[in-house]
Amino acid sequence: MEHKKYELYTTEDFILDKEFAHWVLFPNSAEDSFWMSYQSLHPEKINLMKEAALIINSLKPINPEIPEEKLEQIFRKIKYQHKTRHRLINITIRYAAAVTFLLTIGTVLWFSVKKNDPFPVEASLSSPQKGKVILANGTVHEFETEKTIIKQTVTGKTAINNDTVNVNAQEKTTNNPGLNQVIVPYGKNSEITLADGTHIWLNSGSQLSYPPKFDDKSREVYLSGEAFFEVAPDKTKPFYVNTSEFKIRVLGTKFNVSAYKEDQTIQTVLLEGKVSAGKNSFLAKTVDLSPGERLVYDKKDDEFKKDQVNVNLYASWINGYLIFENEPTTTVFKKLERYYDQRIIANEKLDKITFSGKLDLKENIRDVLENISFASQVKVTEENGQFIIN
Amino acid sequence: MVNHRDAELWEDFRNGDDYAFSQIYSIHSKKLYCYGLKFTSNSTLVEDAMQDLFSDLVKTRKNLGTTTNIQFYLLKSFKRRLFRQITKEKRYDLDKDEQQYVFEITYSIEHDIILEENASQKLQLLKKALETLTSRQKEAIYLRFTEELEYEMIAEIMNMSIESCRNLIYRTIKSLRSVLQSSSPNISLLFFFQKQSEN
Repeated sequence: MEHKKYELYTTEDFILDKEFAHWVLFPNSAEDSFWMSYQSLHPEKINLMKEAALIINSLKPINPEIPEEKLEQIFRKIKYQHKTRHRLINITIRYAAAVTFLLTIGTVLWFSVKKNDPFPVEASLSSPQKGKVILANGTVHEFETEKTIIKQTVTGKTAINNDTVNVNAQEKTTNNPGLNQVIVPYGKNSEITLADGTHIWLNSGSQLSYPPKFDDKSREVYLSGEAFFEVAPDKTKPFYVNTSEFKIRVLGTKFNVSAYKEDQTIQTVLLEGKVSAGKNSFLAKTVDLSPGERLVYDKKDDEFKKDQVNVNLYASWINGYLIFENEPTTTVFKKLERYYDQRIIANEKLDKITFSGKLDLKENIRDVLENISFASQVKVTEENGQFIIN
Repeated sequence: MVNHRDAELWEDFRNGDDYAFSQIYSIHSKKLYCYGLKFTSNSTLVEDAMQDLFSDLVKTRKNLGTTTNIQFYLLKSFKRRLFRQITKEKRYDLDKDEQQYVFEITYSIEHDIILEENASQKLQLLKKALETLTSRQKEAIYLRFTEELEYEMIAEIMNMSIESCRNLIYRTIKSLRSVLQSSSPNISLLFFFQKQSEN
């Protein structure tokens, strides 16, 4: 935008200027800087601009509150009309299965993941892979720290372990906004702060993608692996976590998501606030979660199950320890494998044995396994850098 | 202004992608509903028009043209359907009868707290001036400043030439501004203007 354009502007011109009006109606930090600097360079225009802003603001209507249920109801009618037509041509509708969920239909925005590939880089996560931050402009930054702190500033810049690395996000074209991507290999983890204040702990063997700058309507991130979210509240911009199979809608809350590709289930556990989750498919039903509840999606059975859990078990990893409560030992070992990037081979019959207790992840894996062996009477041997458990 | 995201979303929808449809609905349904309620307070008519619009979209998706501005496309088509509903109910033709054309807006002036000096007095003047606008002026202003549409689109929705649409909006803004200009500290002048406008 050029300052010169505004030289002869009258109040009316400012009001009718799309960019100016948009800035007045929907103030945002990206345009703030432009208009602030314009004002400081052209103080003679300030009164005109104030007057223009006053008039633009006076044009704002009060829109009646339209209840979501109303809109959902209309949506259902539209779909129903469409469906009955199908039924006539004798297509069976699997209604019964669908109705078992308690649900609000589809005002949640479902993105088709195939179009916006959230993970543009197919990363192999095994060691000796380093952690990576791939910025939307394509630049790749590697890191080797055990725990990496990544911060996105309000202006769209990114800092890794306190070193600023990014180019200005505004320089990106808006038509095809790329995503920043953080890849954490097994044995490492990362803590990410987004520009809106949302805090995300990314566990070992996980990837998270997010735009350099959220758009005006929503905040969307993409997760593969495990992460704990502390979402900054913003009622006007719901926060969405997309996983390969389902999507979680959030308004400001604390929750954990575990969505490893190789696991048979995807889980989310809510600590505070409110979230709803649903499959990434059309007419997806969403399930609402309350604090203390866990939602498990079984990929094989294509089913959601909701239950009450001790939420602290699921969030403990961000503080450097794991708590288990009657967890099959195989699950425990799987988590340790990821965390330490160590192969653990467990005898199948151990599946029946469960483990309860707290493991300090700051210790090395040998000590951790020894603790388990002591508590659950399994035998741990080390062979060629692998741990074998009987 | 070409909106690539809209073009793509629309294309997906035309190609039978049901995610795209629910996305279009969730982005636009509330706006359409609000727009509709400006023409009639009968929400059943508004809902019928919405259902009508979206059902037809699904039914005819294969034959739909391309668009780079879904919002405009929907507003235009929705208004036509809503007018049909209103006409059916009231038994007069809105397109032909300008007298019956209603566009009611409650402006948020009183609800916004603006701590600018003199602002409340100015806002009172603006409020009065806004109340005197015709339905067409209100609708044009709404489409421009709330829906943020281009002149060409507003003209098409309101069934007028681009030139007269531009004029209509410009004149409206100018009249609002002239109200403020008279609100200089000179109270007697202000008083004079108010008397004038009441005549």
